[in-house]
Amino acid sequence: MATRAPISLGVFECRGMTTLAAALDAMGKAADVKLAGRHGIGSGWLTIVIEGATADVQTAIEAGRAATSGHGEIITAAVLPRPEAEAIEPMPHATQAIASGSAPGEAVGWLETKGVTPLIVGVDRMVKAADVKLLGWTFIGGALVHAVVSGSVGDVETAIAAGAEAAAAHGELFGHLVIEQPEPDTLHLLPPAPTGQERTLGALGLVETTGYVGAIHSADRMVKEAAADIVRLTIGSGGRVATVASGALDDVRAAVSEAVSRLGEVAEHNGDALITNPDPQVVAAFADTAPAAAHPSAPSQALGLLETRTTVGLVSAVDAMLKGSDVTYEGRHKVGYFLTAAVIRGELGAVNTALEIGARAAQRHGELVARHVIALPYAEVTDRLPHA
Amino acid sequence: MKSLGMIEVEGVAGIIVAADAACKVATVELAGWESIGGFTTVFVRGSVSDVQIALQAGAAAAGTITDHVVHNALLQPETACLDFIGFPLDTGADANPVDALGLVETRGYGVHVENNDRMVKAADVQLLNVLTVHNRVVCSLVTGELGAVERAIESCRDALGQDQWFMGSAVLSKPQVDVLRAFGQAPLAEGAS
Repeated sequence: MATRAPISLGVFECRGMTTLAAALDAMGKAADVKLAGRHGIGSGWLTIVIEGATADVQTAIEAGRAATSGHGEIITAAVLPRPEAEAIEPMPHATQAIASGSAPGEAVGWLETKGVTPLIVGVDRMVKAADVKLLGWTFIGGALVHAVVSGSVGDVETAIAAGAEAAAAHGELFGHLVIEQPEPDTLHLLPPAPTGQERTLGALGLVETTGYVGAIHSADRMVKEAAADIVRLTIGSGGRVATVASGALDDVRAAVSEAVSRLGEVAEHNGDALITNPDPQVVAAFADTAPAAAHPSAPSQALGLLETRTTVGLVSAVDAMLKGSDVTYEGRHKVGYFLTAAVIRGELGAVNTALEIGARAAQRHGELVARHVIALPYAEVTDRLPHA
Repeated sequence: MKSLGMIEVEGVAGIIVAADAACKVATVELAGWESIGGFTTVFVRGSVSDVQIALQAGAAAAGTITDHVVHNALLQPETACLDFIGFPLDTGADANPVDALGLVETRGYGVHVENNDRMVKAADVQLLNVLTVHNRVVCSLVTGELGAVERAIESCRDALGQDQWFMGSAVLSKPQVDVLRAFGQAPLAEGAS
């Protein structure tokens, strides 16, 4: 909550984090304004709210517009002179605390991609190409992901150029940006720092798909084809899920190739990559082993998966499956992009019957996206699945 | 076991309108709601016939502000079905009866900062909540006397009615207190930040 009534507010909304960071940094350099809040609403649409004297806010919003015109999608750029506090203070952007910014002393670089595969490849290239530190990465909706590195101006420029090139070669590069001397407020946009352990691995394999069912299918094929370990399913936004596997190079290559060749059976293939000797910073950020989730069930039981585009369709399907066949409900998971999935267990015949019944119910009340049965699921996959 | 009724729409304003209509027309309880992508679903429970009546009224009401409406009733739902209610109603949540509830739904958040300021300046209304679901859908909820809420919503329609991102608006007179409980506090959407 503001300690003094703001004289004026500036509102700037755009698509993508690199555009937002460029705008906010330009605002802080152009006028005496302070970041009052930020909020994201999915699909990569991000809003910042700044406060200051009316003339400063006007100057700042113009500077934000100018810094991003031609290479960014601006949704809203507006000045609110003397807004009513009661109209603004309960809003989500104003109720999340903004910590005081710290002076960085170093340059920062942003890399933003559509899908997580090009981002991971890009980050690996960045930290190998120059002496930079990965500050963090995160999803911002609509399958957009961004990562930030810091270091000397020269190192950050080298890293971002190399990372952008590598990302573009493995998928869609959405944006990149180098800020030589970032404003303290700009650093509020940094993604959370990696929490995993820095380790060395032989190779990292990535298979990216749309939907939970496709990702589990990939993980199942990968562990069955080669001696690769499933590290985690990285579930982002926009329905994108990357299955991350590690192991010796030949095993990981065989696992990725098998998963990709079979993906068409159940889901969309959005990307894949093989990273040899991933940098320990990349391992800490993207390949930290997911915590084991306990799904108590007999190991011999088959796994049934059903994914739809409506909640009504899925709930109707689950009700019909449990009534029509001898299966148990294990959990559900949402991966964005209107997708919602349910997981059931039982004997193979019962799971097949249930999925048949469930698919019909789902189609009647919505859109069926995927159904899949895994006759003999391996614990190393099911233990890493995030559904509750 | 009670019957379970579900109504699913695009955006969130549609299920707020549906929940209020459903709970007014029949003896059903509001069980909660769920959000996936930009679709939301409201769940009601009651006897088989009450749920049928509630669903019809709710779906018709939702249809006044959104095209996409799907609904279904499960006669004797399996317990697992209740697991899909992502935001179950907190019956102990604070909520005071209000004379009227106004809803404005658009894609985009920045426009709501401007718009909420406009509504509070245009009439004696209070901002109750701003709901962010997914897929850029944002819905502002204001309360006050019926006339004031109507004036506030009218001011939005004048300003935003032609905007490409405007989705819809509604005024509910004497909304059900459970509707205020269910939608009066913001559950932050996953993956939206």
